[in-house]
Amino acid sequence: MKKKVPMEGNKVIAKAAILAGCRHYSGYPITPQNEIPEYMSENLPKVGGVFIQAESELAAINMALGAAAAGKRAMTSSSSPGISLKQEGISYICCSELPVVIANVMRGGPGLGSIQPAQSDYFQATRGGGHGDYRTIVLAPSTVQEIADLVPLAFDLADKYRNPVMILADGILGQIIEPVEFKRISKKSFKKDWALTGAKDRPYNTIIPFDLDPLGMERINLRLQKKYQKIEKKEVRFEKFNMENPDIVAVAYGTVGRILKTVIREAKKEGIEIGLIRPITLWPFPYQVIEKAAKTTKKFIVVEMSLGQMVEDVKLAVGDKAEVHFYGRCGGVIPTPEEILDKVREIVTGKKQRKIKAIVSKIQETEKKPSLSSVLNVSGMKKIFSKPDSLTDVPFTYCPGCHHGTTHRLIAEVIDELGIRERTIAVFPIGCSVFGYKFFNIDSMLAPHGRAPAAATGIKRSQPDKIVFTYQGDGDLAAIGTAEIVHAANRGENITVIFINNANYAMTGGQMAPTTIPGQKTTTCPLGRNPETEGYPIPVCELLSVLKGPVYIARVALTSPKEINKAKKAIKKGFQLQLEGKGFSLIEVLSACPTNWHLSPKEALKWIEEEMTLSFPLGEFKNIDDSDRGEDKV
Amino acid sequence: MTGKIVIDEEKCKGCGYCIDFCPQKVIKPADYTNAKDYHPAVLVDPEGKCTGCGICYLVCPDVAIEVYKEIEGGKK
Repeated sequence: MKKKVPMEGNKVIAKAAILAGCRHYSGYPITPQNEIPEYMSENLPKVGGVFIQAESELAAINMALGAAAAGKRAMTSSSSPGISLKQEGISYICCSELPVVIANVMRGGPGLGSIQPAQSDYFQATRGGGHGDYRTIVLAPSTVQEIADLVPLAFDLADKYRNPVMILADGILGQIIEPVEFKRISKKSFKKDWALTGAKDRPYNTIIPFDLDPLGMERINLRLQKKYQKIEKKEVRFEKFNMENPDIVAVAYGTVGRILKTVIREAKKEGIEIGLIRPITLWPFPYQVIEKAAKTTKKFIVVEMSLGQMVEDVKLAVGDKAEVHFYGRCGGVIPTPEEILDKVREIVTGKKQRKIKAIVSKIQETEKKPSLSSVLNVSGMKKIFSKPDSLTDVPFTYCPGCHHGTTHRLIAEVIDELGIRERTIAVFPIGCSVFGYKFFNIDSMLAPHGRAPAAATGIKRSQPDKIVFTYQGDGDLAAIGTAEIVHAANRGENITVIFINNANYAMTGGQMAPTTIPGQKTTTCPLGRNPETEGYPIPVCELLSVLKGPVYIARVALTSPKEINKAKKAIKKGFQLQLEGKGFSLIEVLSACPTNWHLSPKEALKWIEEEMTLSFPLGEFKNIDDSDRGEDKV
Repeated sequence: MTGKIVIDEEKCKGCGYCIDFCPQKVIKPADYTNAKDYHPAVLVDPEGKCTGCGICYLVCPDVAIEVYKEIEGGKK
């Protein structure tokens, strides 16, 4: 017997995939699934596989599409908002009939949502999600062991039906550590004579997901439907638990399916028998077993970490044979066994129960203690430096020594000095500075990852008299948002962009960024960035300065009082040019990230000065006042 | 001209930038911790060496420092 080892759900997804023969993984950092790309980056190359940290979820799914077309077992993973981005690719993969495995470790939605566990992608996963008449096979594990068992099955089903298969987990399953045994290893070998391997000794192969002739396109659709019907007939999987003559049948999947087992145990003590049907395949959905159960049990409850998405499928199965109730929490809140049992009692006994509050972890605000220094006598003295008015009193939530705070203050000082607080609008990114809206005493919004320049364009064009700036990190601006920043700059959009370059994805735990410097170790380039396979750091200032649109582009650092003063001048210049209606400006700030660089704040400053500036030299790269470029004129 | 600084010890995260850059070397880490468990920076200036130059304010990433300067003719 193989020994069980404790392992985290996300890592099990990755390890099981490698054991199942996955040889291509492409992904993009997003919580709570970062351990998948991190594990892959370390372990896939060891078996001759390819790990690529893509520039976006769109690129990641299409890299997997390409690898699958080339005949490799390919995988990508993400969490809810990232899966939304992958939908176009998934639709293409379905129509191209390619085998790709996609892991979705769900978090709260909609929008940016939260990073806590949720099941709110049920519709997106089971209804196709993207455009067109297609289906994705969806496997929903409820334990880490089941992840290890279902991942190889996912690869087999993907190959068997030439269709994408989604592993639908959630933040709990991704993060939980449980004993696991890798028993089920895919041994099946699938002939891939359709793959693009070069037309040697055979007619040429094509993978074309369209037909402009409507009758032809209809034929493709009908062929797909035939395949889906076969899958619906053959691949339904579910677990039945405590189903001998229950008072009520609960239908729940994944983590909630597991919580239900505790509820069942507790309910038994008070004489209530709850049966459980836990769908393992969410598509194809186990309609028949539910329909059969509805013949004898007249009460059903669907429990979800979403607001009634699976209820529709259960109602379809039950029809008018039984009543279907619902209980769910959402947004990252996990229902407790107590509150579910409460709802069950209410349904079974018909009596309203006392309300039990769910346990929700809340960020504790620290109690404000009087500052010891504040007892210093400053009467008769003049306050010469203090918090600018354009900042709120909310303490920054950044790590010690992080330069986000310094940059925030400089921007606020500039806004104060120019007297534009009441007409300034900020667009914040996804990244550490996602909380920027709390810290600035100005109007602001949050744009999807990388899209801040597009959102800022919309604001500026609607209200040209307002001063609009984006505040973006290196992942946001130089990876997923490359298109938006290049085009906003190229249009000469009259906005100011503050670009924080700290050479890693800090919010998600220190993955490789487009600005990670050669040799720098991160969680997805554990051996150090290798330019041969991972490319060189992207010099955003240099790139954008060749465009005609921008009027001012500068790179600054905050490593000394002198450099901080230069940085402020550059930021002020950017805002001033916008006030004068001159056009697009971008100020790149080399920003310390002591936490993810594993350095002390002091060492971090030294690292910027001695290492980072080699890849990112400081200075002005474009200044309409001065035709010289590349010289240190800040 | 002398100066004084007021450090919000609850906002301070003990990064030490102000300590490293203070030209008069009158800022030190406290031997106690704040509510977030950081050792905040404190002004230790028995000789009144602080000039109110504002460098500590400039390098502080947490806007935790206010700088005061003596007004001419004002009380000390």
